[in-house]
Amino acid sequence: MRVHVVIRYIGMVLQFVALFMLVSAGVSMLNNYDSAFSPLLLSSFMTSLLGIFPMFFVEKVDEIKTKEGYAIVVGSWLVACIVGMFPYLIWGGEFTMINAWFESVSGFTTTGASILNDIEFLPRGLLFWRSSSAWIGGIGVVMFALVILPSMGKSRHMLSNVEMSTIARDNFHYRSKVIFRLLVTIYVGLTIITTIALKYSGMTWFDAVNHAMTSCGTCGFSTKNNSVAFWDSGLIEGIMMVAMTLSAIHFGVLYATLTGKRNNIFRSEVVRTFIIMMLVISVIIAISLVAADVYSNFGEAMRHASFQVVSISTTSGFATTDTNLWTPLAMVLLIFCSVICGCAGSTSGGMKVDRLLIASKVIRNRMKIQLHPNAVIRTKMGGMVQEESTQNLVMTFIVSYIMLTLIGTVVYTMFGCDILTGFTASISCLSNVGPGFGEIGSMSNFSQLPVVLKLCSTLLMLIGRLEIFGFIQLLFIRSWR
Amino acid sequence: MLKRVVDIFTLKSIKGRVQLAFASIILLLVFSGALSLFELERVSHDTEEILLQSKMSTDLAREMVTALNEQNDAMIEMAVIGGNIVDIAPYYKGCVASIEHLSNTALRAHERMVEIGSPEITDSLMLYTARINDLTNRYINGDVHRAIFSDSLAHITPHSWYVECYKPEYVNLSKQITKFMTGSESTLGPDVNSLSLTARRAVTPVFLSLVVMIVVTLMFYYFIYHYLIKPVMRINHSLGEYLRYRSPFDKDIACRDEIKSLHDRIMILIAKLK
Repeated sequence: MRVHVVIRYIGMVLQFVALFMLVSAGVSMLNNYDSAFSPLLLSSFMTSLLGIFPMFFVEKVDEIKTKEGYAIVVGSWLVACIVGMFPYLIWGGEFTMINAWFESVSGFTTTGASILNDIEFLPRGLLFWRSSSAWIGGIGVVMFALVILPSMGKSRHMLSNVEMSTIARDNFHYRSKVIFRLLVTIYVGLTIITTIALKYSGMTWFDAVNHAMTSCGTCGFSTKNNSVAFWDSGLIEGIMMVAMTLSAIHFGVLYATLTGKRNNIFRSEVVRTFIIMMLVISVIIAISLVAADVYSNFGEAMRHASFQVVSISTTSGFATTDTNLWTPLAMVLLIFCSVICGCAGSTSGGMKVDRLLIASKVIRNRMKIQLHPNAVIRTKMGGMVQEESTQNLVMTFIVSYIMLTLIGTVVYTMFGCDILTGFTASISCLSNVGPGFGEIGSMSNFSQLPVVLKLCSTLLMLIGRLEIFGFIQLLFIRSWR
Repeated sequence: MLKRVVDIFTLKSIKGRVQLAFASIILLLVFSGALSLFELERVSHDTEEILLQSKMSTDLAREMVTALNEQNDAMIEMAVIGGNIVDIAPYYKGCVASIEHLSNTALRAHERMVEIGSPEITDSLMLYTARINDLTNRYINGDVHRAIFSDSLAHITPHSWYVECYKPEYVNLSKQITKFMTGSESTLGPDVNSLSLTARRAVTPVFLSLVVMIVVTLMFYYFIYHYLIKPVMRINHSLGEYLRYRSPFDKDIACRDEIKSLHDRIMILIAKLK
């Protein structure tokens, strides 16, 4: 593996991160040079220096090997999270070393969990940086750097293969350049449209931009302590639900829909399953909430239930109410949403509906083979036969996900958390959702957790964001050469 | 100049690249140093501000205590010790002056508390100041004596009036001055907290710059080794092999700068020797 090549491309990603820090410093400047201005400016400079330094020495290469691609992607996430701490650390306040690391990882992995007790106390520049990290994370640090920075030549495709979810990759039939363009066009376009819609439904421009960025990044960071509940507006919630849902759908499918191609939203089995799943769960939760007298009428129950289901299923994690007060059935269904999450090829994390579908079909086919041992049964999805290797990969992923969740739960409970908090924290971090239940409910945060658990949470977030295997590759780095 | 810049960014000049690397390290140092200095300046300014505010409160409290004690001394002389008009005349004047002094100082203290948004701290102080000044005024205007010689207060003497009426007010006002002292100090709490924040901001940039510098230095070492030392060692080794055994000179070198130029010239020289 050519270490210098890896360093060069990580450096390019850092340039992109530095650019966003500079934009945040600009926001700070517009707000009468608030206290975040100098921290953001210095962070931008340091990040830019770290990124540009390798470019003085390493030439661009035409071809990147698979292992180098992995190293660049994983390295970029890690380094982006590290430099993302700089503005928080320099600004101070609640941001100790571990808190800054937590907030940075939570942003870049689009988890949206926070350690902040008073979000509104943060200067606007820093709030914008917080949302920016989530927005960058939404599409993938590497992905963005590849689109924006034009000097990567043939190496683009290799990185996109590594960065995108393995299932999403199979669905992309477009050429690599088109992939990058469509991703950015859809992502930026969706963010702009959401911003305008939120502005005209009652938010200020600043809040609208921040919430649009974190909705499209499926992160869930808010500029208010009470999250979306602050506005108490059905219209705002509706707009955000649409933005979150679209961001959790395969971007290739969105592109196909926009360009009138065959494999569009209405014909996609995965999207259909995703939407139906959210609808059914919302209705069940609403009924259970009305039955338990949590809400007096079905309309109100449905409004809160559907927002929470969409927010959790898309791995955003915005809140309009304290779900800790909901019925056990509602809680279990929300935990189920936290596990399954959105579609592959989107900004959401978690196990993904695609894997759930393939796994359920594999199980069904195995049962058929039990009954008819000589039958030749193929597993199909969207009319395409899924190869044995894909099926194995899906099952391995699911087993790994379950194992990691259990290990995470053990660690959380080992350090004093109750089982509900431990289990849901483990799932919510691994799926990059954000809120869980118990001590880390939708209206509370991770600030009260001990340092070890904050570290454990960030580790799970990184593992989850890199689709488990991307991170595990790091453990075998020695055998790469 | 333009050619040099182009050479650096097209990786053709090792000298320019090394210079640029050093320049960026120095720039980082200067930038973080400047930011730390700026934050230290703020720490110094904030500290000065806090100390000044603290001193102002102490001065006001001291002035009030002095005025109150002057008034109390005068009242003791006039009401308790007593004497003829000539003896008590200076105390009478002192008493009048202290009333004004006490009123003005209490008013200044109240205005300051209003300014920093905590007027409740001096509300009682203003009340007790007004009450004690009113008592003193009544005494020096002769209202108390008239009341004593009339039937309404016939059972008390000036001495007992001092003990029963004036002394409790004196004690109350003393307590209020102490309350003002502690109250005004506690209002500095947020400023002190902000001071610790600013102090951290002054230190963190330097710490982070140091970390970045270490990383940059490590990268610098790695790149210098990879792109300068290693190729030179290879060229040297290959040239040695050629001179000793006439084995072919190493043609594979992956750079475009002066090292490549040196390599190419050696190859030309070898070709000429053949």
